[in-house]
Amino acid sequence: MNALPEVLAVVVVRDGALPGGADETVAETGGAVLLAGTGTARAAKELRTARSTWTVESAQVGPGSLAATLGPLLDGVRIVLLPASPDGRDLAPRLAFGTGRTLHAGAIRCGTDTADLSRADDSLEIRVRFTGPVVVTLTPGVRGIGRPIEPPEPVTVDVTPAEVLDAEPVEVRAPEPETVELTEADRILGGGAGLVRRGEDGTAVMRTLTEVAAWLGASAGATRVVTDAGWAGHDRQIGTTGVVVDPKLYIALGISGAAQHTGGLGRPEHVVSINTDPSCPMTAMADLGIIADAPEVLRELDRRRRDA
Amino acid sequence: MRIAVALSRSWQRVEVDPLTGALGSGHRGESAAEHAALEHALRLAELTGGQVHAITAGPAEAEEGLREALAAGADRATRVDLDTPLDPNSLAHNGATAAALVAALPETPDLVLCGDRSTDGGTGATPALLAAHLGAAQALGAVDLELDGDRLLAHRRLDRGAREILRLPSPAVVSVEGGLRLRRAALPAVLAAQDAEIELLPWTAAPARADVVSARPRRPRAREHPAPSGDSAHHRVLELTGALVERTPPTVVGPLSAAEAADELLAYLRRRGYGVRP
Amino acid sequence: MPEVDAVVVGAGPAGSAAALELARAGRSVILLERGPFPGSKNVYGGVVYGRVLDEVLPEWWREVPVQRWVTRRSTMMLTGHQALTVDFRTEDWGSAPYNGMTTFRADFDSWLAGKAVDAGARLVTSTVATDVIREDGRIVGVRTDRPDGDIRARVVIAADGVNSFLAKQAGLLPRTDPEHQTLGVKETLALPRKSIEERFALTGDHGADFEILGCTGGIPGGGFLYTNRDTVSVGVVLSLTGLAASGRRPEEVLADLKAHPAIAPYLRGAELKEYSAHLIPEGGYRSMPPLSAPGMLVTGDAAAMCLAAGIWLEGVNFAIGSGLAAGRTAAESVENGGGLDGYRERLKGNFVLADHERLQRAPGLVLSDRVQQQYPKLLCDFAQGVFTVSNPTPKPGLGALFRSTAARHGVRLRKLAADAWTGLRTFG
Ligand SMILES: Cc1cc2nc3c(=O)[nH]c(=O)nc-3n(C[C@H](O)[C@H](O)[C@H](O)COP(=O)(O)OP(=O)(O)OC[C@H]3O[C@@H](n4cnc5c(N)ncnc54)[C@H](O)[C@@H]3O)c2cc1C
Ligand SMILES: Cc1cc2nc3c(=O)[nH]c(=O)nc-3n(C[C@H](O)[C@H](O)[C@H](O)COP(=O)(O)OP(=O)(O)OC[C@H]3O[C@@H](n4cnc5c(N)ncnc54)[C@H](O)[C@@H]3O)c2cc1C
Ligand SMILES: Nc1ncnc2c1ncn2[C@@H]1O[C@H](COP(=O)(O)O)[C@@H](O)[C@H]1O
Repeated sequence: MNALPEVLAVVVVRDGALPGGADETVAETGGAVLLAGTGTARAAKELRTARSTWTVESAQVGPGSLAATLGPLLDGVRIVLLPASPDGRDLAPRLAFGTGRTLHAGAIRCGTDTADLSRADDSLEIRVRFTGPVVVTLTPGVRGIGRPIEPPEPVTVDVTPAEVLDAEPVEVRAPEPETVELTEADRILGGGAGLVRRGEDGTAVMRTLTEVAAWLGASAGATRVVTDAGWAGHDRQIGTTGVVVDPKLYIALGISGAAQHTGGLGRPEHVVSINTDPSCPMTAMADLGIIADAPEVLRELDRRRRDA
Repeated sequence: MRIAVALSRSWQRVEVDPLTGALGSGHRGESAAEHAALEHALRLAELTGGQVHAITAGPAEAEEGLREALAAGADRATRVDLDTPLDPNSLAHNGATAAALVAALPETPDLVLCGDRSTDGGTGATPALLAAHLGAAQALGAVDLELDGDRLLAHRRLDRGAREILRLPSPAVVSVEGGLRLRRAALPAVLAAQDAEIELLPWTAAPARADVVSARPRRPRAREHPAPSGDSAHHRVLELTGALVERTPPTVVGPLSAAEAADELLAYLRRRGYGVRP
Repeated sequence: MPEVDAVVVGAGPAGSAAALELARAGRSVILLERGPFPGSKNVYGGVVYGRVLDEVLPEWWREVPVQRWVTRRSTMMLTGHQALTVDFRTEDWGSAPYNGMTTFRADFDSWLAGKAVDAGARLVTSTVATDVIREDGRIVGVRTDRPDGDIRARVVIAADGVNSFLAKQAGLLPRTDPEHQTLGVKETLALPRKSIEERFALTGDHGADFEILGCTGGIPGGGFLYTNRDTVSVGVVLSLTGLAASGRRPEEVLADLKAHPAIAPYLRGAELKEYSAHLIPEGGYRSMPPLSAPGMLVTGDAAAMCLAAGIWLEGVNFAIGSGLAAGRTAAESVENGGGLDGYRERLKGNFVLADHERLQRAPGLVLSDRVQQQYPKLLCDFAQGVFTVSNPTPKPGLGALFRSTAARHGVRLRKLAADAWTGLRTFG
């Protein structure tokens, strides 16, 4: 087995599926990744940024056991980087604790000697210096991945699984589209100020938007005007001060397309803008601009959803 | 069931100067998630005839949260005396407080309930570190808890909106998201809690301080895109600005009625392969 | 049901002062506050005059949460394009025992409530008093919105601010009273500390307090501009009836003030941090409700104790003064079983009612059309006349200039003299 490099991404895989932020994490380490969990060989082929891949196939993805299993392998690794996805967030502290490393969670950048941590509701960026071996988690969606490369042939690492008390998995339920975290959604319906009429209950409108989005297999997002008004949670706000998303399809309803909003939009392949203003920036950047009354269109879509 | 609930009463709505990153005033309080954790704890204790022990690691101000917990029905409260000032060093923390919290639990309880994340550090690492310290199982980011016989089932979020259901052994640490509202304490209980005793444990261990280099206002990071491949600098610039990309010219239709607009939208989605309900 | 000597509703300055006095007298007292902490919901302009605090704590200035000590007071008269300012500054107010300070209510109210708690009062936050409890025509407690929320008390003190719900429940206040209330709206704007000090010509922890007349676009009222450490507070106080008649929105009036050429340079580049609005009891002495009912005392804004007469906007000190008096009266009544009648006498014996009595004509005068509109215009035009160099025409005599300016503005000199006399008797 090749010796593991000094900087290594550790990514938990379930049934061959990579978690959100996996490729970004790998890109951040320069391409070295250890995949652990079930279906690792399959997942290795899905990587777009790896230059060297190790796999540890383990039926157990419980964080206690997995940390105990992987810990001994990481002796020579100075920086262990995990995506701050649910499984990454579970495993990272257990790995840090088990191997006596400092944990730097919630990084937006990880260098060779420092990491930048996002704090205080994402308004503060704290740079910390590494004083020894570390475990770092990287927030998904903050860096992008550059040009995809062919995945390398993975090196299988055999391990003796360790047994540590973990919760017993009962069931995994398929996602309901409306709860898909926005960052991971590949279709998003965004609602803006133009979707809510003066005096109307914005919260109800956003609820309808969420239902219509679910019907279209999409998630609902919003502009800051909407989230500031309290019509949608702040986790729904797309933009430079909100969530940075990267969907394939973006449908903007009543959104003007301010830079702070589109700055968080990634590069959707398809953009539709429904707006009464044909020359607003959102419509200008759309493949299809529909000049119509957004609240009415939403109501019509909702009617069809119910009839369907 | 012996239940402990960890209330951080950490800094909230910290003001950050958008130019310098200087920290302004903030105030302390529990997060909605921690209130939900407390409410879950009280309900589970009622259902199982258990006891609730509220713990915090923080300065004297943090006792206010413990008194609220006592007023709402917690049986016991302990504060580990730990200074958590509003500075980049404390904010950089990553569960350095977990060790201190363990000190408040001389006997490992059956269940430790935490908030999903505290409002200052906000990474949700503390519960997992607590589990590591206690040798307990963990379930992080639970959106729902239910009793199945005498075992607890936690529903938690996975990637892409999937839900995982975990059956928890004892001991276990569970962190929950907000959503469940904390009950309103009765007035006599509020008054009684003001005089209730709060155990105080000293904490002298050197805090694990992060080596902070700088603290700046957060700026979104430049995202990486594939490098342009053109053979002249001019072409590479054109490529970067998207000027060379073949793009169907944008179609603008309308003004349309709502029904026409809906037809137009759904037809477009169908053309592009975005069927209704994939 | 908890039984105490006194329950005080509202942990504003009035309520905390009352609770402090009761606790110091060894009485059991519960202080109820609907906000999550004292001061969390409270709005005001920003200046507290501290002398009354001498009764709360010797050398209070060593620990009070202060933004800046006011060493500069300006009274400005504006017209659309002019400004005439009387500017006063004194270093005496910049050192102990100090005079006025800018402070944030969240800090100040918490501090004062903390003093009451230190003395033994029990503060219960996030709790709303929803009614009074009566027995045989006497008020014997309050009901709150918590489960098992009734409290029995030998005295109830209503310190719940303007439009007092409790005083209304007790039948001491009319249901609505727009005539005697004004609306205050205020913005807090962030500016670098250094800019504040340069623009307002201040050093260290010194601060400025500007009161402004003629800036409310014809609606009776006034404006203010105060400096905090790294924010400034700018606001207007508007007569409710005048506002309704004008058809304008209060934020428009404030926007006009901020854009005035004499004000805008102070605020340039400032970033809006907060907007708030609140009613102020402004009728003064003549509109005060009865101050007590059997079992209950009313204090602070709840009893219209705020002294709001144009260039005066003093509510907090009057709230504290009346709160202390209410607390003392209640403590004595509990101790020797007497009634609560001593309250009014006590207020008359100190500045609270004495000042109000003296200034009872002030609201009428200050809100009169002459003071609001005519005089600022007259004085500004007069000043412009005096300072405009009119060569080659010779300078006019000042007397003649004044008479002609007054005539142009339709101001009768006899009325002016009468107002001056009223003013002198009122303010002098
Ligand atoms: C520092 C900073 C950070 C910011 N960060 C973010 C951020 O992260 N995310 C974000 O979204 N914003 C952010 N903003 C705010 C941003 O600048 C815009 O104000 C915001 O995105 C505009 O939202 P909007 O498009 O919903 O509203 P508006 O700009 O008001 O646009 C409403 C649109 O609806 C259209 N419309 C009106 N009526 C109808 C109708 N009946 N039918 C159809 N269309 C209609 C209008 O033509 C218009 O195009 C930030 C601003 C600042 C200063
Ligand atoms: C715009 C503006 C500018 C002002 N500027 C100044 C100034 O510069 N200087 C100055 O000295 N004064 C100023 N004032 C006046 C001053 O704010 C008031 O006079 C003063 O706050 C009165 O104190 P109080 O304790 O009587 O009432 P408040 O400060 O109003 O306190 C009442 C308290 O009771 C609580 N409460 C109310 N109802 C209930 C209930 N049912 N149950 C439980 N709690 C309840 C409230 O939450 C509040 O904490 C200004 C006012 C305004 C509106
Ligand atoms: N100092 C603390 N005292 C008590 N509980 C804490 C403390 N810090 C974190 N916790 C618990 O751990 C959860 C996650 O916190 P964090 O890891 O800081 O995001 C919180 O919601 C609390 O339940």
